[in-house]
Amino acid sequence: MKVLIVSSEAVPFAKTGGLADVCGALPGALRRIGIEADIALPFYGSIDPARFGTMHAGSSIPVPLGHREEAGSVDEIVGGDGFRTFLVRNDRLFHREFLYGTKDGDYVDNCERFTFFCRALMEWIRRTGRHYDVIHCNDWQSALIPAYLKTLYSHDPAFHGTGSLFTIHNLGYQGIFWNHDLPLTGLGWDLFTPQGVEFYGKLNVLKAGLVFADLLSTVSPTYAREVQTGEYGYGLEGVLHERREALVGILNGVDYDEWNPATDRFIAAPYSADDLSGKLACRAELLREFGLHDSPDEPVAGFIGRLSEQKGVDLIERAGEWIAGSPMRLVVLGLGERRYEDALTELAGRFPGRISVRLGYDNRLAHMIEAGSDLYLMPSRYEPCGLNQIYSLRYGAIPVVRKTGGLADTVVDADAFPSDGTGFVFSGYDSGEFTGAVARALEAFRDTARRDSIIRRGMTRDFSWDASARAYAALYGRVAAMAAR
Amino acid sequence: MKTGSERPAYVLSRVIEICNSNVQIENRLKHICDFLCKETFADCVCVYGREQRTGLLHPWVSSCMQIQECSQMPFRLRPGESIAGKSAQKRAPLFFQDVRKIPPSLPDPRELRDFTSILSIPVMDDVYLYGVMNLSSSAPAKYSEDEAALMRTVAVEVAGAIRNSRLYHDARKRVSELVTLNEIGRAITSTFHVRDLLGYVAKTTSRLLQADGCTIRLAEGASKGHLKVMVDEGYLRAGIRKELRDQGKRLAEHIARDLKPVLINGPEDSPAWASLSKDGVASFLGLPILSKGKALGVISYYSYSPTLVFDMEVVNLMQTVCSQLANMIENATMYREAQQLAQENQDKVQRLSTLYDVAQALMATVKTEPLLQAMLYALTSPKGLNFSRAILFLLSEDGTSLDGRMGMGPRNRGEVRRLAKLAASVSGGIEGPGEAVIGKMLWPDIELIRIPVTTGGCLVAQAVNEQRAIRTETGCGGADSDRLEGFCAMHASAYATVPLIVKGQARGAIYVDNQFREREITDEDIQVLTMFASEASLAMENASLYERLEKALQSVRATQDKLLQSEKLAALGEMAAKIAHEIKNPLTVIGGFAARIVSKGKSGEVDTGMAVRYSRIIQKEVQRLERILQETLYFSREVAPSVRSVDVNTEIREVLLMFRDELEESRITIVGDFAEELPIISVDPDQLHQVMWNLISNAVQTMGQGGMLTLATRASFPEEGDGIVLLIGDTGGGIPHDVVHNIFNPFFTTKSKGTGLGLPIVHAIIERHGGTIHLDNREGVGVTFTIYLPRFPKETGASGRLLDQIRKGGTNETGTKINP
Repeated sequence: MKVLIVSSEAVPFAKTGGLADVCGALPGALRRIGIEADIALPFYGSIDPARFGTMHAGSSIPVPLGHREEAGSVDEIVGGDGFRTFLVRNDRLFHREFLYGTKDGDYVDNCERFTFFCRALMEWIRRTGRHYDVIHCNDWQSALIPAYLKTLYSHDPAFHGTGSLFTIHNLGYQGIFWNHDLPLTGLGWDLFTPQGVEFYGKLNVLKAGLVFADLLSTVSPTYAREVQTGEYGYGLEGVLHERREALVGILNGVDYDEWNPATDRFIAAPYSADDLSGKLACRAELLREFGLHDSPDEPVAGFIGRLSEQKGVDLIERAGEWIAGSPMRLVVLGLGERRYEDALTELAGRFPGRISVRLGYDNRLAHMIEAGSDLYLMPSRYEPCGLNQIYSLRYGAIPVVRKTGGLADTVVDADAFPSDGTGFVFSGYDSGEFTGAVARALEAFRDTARRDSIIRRGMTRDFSWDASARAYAALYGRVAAMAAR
Repeated sequence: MKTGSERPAYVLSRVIEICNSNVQIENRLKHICDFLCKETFADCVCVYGREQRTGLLHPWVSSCMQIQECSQMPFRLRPGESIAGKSAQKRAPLFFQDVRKIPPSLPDPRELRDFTSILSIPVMDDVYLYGVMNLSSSAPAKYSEDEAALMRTVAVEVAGAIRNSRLYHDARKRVSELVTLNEIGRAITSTFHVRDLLGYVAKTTSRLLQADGCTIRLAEGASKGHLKVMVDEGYLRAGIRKELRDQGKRLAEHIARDLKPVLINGPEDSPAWASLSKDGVASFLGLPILSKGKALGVISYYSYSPTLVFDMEVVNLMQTVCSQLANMIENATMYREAQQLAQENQDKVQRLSTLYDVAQALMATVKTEPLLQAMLYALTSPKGLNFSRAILFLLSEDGTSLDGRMGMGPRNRGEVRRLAKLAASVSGGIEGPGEAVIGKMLWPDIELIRIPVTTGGCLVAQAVNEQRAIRTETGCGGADSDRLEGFCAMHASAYATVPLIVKGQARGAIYVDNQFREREITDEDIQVLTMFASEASLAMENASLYERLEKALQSVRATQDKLLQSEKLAALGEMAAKIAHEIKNPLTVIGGFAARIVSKGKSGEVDTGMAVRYSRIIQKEVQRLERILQETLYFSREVAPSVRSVDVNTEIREVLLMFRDELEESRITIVGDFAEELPIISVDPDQLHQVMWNLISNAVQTMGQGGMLTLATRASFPEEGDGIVLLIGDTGGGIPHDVVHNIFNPFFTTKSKGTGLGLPIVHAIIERHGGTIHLDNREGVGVTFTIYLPRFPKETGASGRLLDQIRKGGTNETGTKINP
């Protein structure tokens, strides 16, 4: 079985979100269970060739792009951890400071950039005589490949027996462009229909993946169900419901080498489920870092994430006063939309000593928050998978989450299931329900024995990559069988 | 807010930076508004865009709203209306310090909201107004000269950004349209199916234009006055297509009459607007499909969405498509006409190809009898000329009468079915069924039909006499039917006849009719029949030539056989003489030594050593005799080879042992190179011995004064085949250049003693095993034979025959087949 994972980002080369973590970890995890998986991503300007060591993997490839041809090439990262990493190179399109856009907005030619990315890979595979059983595409940036396999390249012997899996990491980003970008993709106008890639008069690149991939997956089973509804489907619930037979949810794994309180080099003292004593030191350090007073009876709640509507920041904002009045302190680390940045900064200004906000992203601080928090808040509006709640489980920060997507699949409510509970879960996107769940968490916190048993249970839950990789392997098998037919 | 002298530079540099960033124009404007909001007194900075078609201003981007929220605000400002409208109209900045105290004319509360001061600056460059930028504040604001100038500069910068963005989008749109046009162009030239193509054009263009409905009508009827709907595309809203049908028809007729595109976006464009808008149509575009000043049809587009109206650009674009379409429709019409012509031609070609097939079949038949049968079959078969009946007459030898030679087809109604059944059982082409079937189709007693050449009124005779084809519908002798007799009285009244002419001489005639059938004999039939007759004549001539040749050949063969027989006898005689000579020497030697032993024995002085020496000589001579006998016998009886698995290396060593003494005597050194792990091959070991014996013996004989005998074996290379290669080389001076080509011929020898059969036998044996033998002859140096033998022998006909030929002394008759 040979798999090519196509992604617009992957750790450690380029990262803006969870997609990079998944695509960075998946090839290695697949390798460990005997699946040969290569990965391909664009050669961004932010990737330093000197740091990684790149080499040429194929001569210049002419890539059809609308009415003209654009030259591209594919470089390979030297070395690699049992898998090969390919970088699609075109300096005009990818040699930029950022991945998708500046702080002023998305690049105006993103359709051209990622059309080129997909088409260049197809041409490269064809011209270099490679063969993959499965091409695993991720999010809209690689969504044209499944369409190419079924249309422009369907009779090409190089792709005989090649199937595609398309994974939706976040349906919120669909790659919507005006209709005049359609000729760029090389797909005919006959696909520009509501059954094809048309979306209210515009070109929706993500739809190409949803319509043409042999199988679809999302990053959690609950999210796979949710995207078929109007509330989470972003207008694509219809096509996703139509393809429900082909749609599977697989939880992302987390890297427990990086996120383990027993070995974490960023935290004040190591600890584990058997010996939680180190966590107190971590808490003290966290409060010191954020300028809050330490008092052992009052728990600390943490929040890390992009400050956007998706993450439920408006719930935190609305509950700000309630939180300040409760026996709990809140630390926030994040960056995002201006209005939320302003609102949270203002909240911290109003309640010094109770709420502290740090605008930015800092890996060390993130580790410190996970280790030093007693509660971890994740009231997301939607959450395809989510990683921080899984880190929190392992770090003994009791997660308070909304019952959506991956959150619903990873956190069990301790009141509803006293013997299995690992956190506190609420359903409605409503500040009352949110504060209710936090109140229940605070109550549990006062009962030391119960608290410790919830913490210990959470710490021993295993969401490592092994299980996820096996689930993906099974999916690849299905895709390959479909493609062979 | 930054203050001080570096402020303008700071503001401008940031604005320019944002304007030149590579993101969507709305994002850029939003960032500028946000930035200005922070850097000025304004509490809200808003950019109104100017709609290109109407000149109305609409809220586009604002610092106090999300981009989408703002662009979806439902209000529009007319030029002159409220503050921004006035500023746009005057194309100059306007400042209202307190809108409550001094309100603008035609105030719009959605622009003013609850602001106090509003500064409106037109966003424009030196030619074009793109919109208006409003800086609004709740508190009364004051803008200094410098500040106002700075804002004006910012507005110019913003105008530049909008212009660039429009250019960029226009360029991309243009490219997209060109690509689509190109696609349509390719589709148009790739097919002649008008309906398919119109469907494709409707689909592609309506998606490109984002039209909600598209209909293509084509002119029909003799006067091309009626417009028929060919394709409907879109019309997703239920019932809308029906509602628009009459409207569309009227508009289309109007367009076809005026030969001009019609674009309706409002009541000012056409009186039809009222009813169109009643059906929810926001924009209508109709274009004539023009060719040489005539409307071939009309293509119409509808849009229901008020945000999507067709403009002149679309009209231009679609005119290009329409002219392409017109060409295509013209071509398709021509194609249809051409097709009709082609159909007519095809019939002709069909006849010609039938004739060709017939001619081919006739030419392939060289014997007269089957040829004539094939001719009649071709005349009557539905696959051939398809006459009902055909009769062949040949001119008698004395030239006085036309004798019936063959006839085919039903003689009476009863036979029609029988023959049809018989014909149906026959499959295959025009070359006809086998003789057995044809035999059943032929008329018996045909020789009874006989026409004297002089018979007056008989058209068959006339055709032969005048050497031309004749067709009649009234029978022989015109209306005077009483005088008809013989054949003329028997046949149908409508028939045709053609003479068979060879080298200007009539040799006979063909008679055909369509008795018992409803088919006329047409002019074309006569043409084809005439051509057939000339082909047939030629074929008949060929056949008779061939028969004569055949006869000549037979007599030549008989003579040759006789010759060969005598040659064979001569050869045998020669061989007998040679054999006699060959065995004379050994016999003399044997006799001599035997006599000596006897005489010594008589005198009682036999000593064992001498007896042994003599006996050895006798033994050796006997061996030689045996070999001579063996060679001779090889040609006189069947030698059935018995194949076994053999290691050639072992065999060659065995054969070498037989030459030990001779080699020693002649001081010949052996250079051996025997490959390890040589493949085991299947051969007849005795015959292999014979090959090696012959070659080594030749080598030894040529090296009477010493030399080097090279022996080598190896597995064959893949390109040689799967087997082994054996090399036998000597340094005996080679074979003279002028005789080397003879060495494989029987009875050729350069040696004083020898039958001359050695090498031919070697050659025959090796060929019979499917192997090859090559000779590398270096005159003055030596000879090397290279023998390839396959792992398994294959029977090769050629060598088998060659062997037989040798054995039988040179005749070419096929001998008994030899199984290896």
